[in-house]
Amino acid sequence: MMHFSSFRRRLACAGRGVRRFLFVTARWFADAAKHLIWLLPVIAFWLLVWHIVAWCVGSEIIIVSPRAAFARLFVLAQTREFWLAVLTSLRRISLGFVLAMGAGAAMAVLAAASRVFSRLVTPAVGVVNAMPLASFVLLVLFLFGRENLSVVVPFVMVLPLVYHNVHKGIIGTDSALLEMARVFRVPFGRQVRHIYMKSIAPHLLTAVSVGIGFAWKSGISAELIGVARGTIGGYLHRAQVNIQTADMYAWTIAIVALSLLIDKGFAMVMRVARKGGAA
Amino acid sequence: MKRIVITDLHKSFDIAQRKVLDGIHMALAPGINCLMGASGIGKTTLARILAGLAEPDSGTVIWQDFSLPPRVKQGCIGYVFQEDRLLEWQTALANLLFVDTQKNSVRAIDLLTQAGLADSIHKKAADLSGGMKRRVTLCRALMGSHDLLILDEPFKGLDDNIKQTAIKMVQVWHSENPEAILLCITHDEDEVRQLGGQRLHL
Repeated sequence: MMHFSSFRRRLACAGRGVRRFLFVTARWFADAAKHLIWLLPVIAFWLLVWHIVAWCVGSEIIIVSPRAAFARLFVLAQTREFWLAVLTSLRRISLGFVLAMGAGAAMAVLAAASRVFSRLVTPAVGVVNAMPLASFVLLVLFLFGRENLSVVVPFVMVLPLVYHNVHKGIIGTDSALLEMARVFRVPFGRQVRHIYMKSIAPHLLTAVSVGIGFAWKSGISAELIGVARGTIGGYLHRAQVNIQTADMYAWTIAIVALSLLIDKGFAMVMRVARKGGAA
Repeated sequence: MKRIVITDLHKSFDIAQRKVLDGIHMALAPGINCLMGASGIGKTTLARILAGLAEPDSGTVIWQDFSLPPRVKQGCIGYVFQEDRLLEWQTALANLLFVDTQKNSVRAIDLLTQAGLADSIHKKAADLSGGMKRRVTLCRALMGSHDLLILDEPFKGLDDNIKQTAIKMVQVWHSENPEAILLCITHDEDEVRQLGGQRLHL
């Protein structure tokens, strides 16, 4: 009887959670639609500027008109290669990003726990942070090959960001609360869940939201510099070598669209999670 | 008999080598021990040393007839800090359960109700007034059956009626845990008189 009532309580709680999720998601779409109404004239204005500049230049090799660029994108989007390249780039860059999140967080924990580790790692992370993307790509190219470029480069580019942010969150944890937990002998796992995570979460979210865009841009750039076959960057490079300006524009539009989609998708997930948490 | 014996305790802080405790001798017996003294004389520092939050420069603290010193046992020290030190983003109830290994919500709700916080059990600590937070802090310390309960100005900021209730709660806790050593730091003679027990001066 006890178990049954507990099950019913959990079921009711889950039902409330789903309803809340649907409500917040619907509100997000409504807000996005409202935002789009204002955004459309702005987009139309900049397309017009682009069209006028292209018309003034008068050469489809130097600047492609928006009509030609979107027409080329429409053609490319109907090919298997286009979607394979998108998926390949997305898969590799996402893998690099996720690995960077895990490794960066683990390193931050170790650095907060051990001063020796912190002294060893912090300068190395600083060097990676200061290194130009192009020279780093060339170094990685020799070590890991073309195939793994868009995994390794986003990994190394995002890692310092996650490391610094999570480390800042850990060392910024309220020491008075930790002392209180220590006196009452609160188990360490509970301290992590209720005290440390509260301090780390905002820093981690900043790292994720900045890191997503960073990983995407650095990953595509790495593919382009390293000429990784079957990827977005690889096709972009091919279009440049063959002076297929319309293709270059079409791929760039695809990159920007995907970047916006990922960014907005993450913002939506965060908003739903935050509202869900507040409920 | 269980006792905490403090012998020739010295503690100074790095800043200007200010001596806070200068050769303190004291014995704390089971029951209520009220520690009084002027501001800045080292009452809180002594409490922190007893709780294992600070190390003395020299001297000894001996836990006589305890099976294990409370510092190494789980949940054997309760502490009302001078500041509230609550998890502001959590409810009053969650704050009490946070320190309780058994997660005894019945006991937590009972304590909060006794403290006049029945309507605020599920309110976040951040939304409570100063006096309410103080009572949550006291309830948190009274959750367990500690060997040592340290109350550092526990009734600060409470109005008279609520203070009477809080003192009563402490006395009830003491009657339920007669073997426990209760150290209450206060400046208020009235509180000392109402609490009863041993008076100690620093």
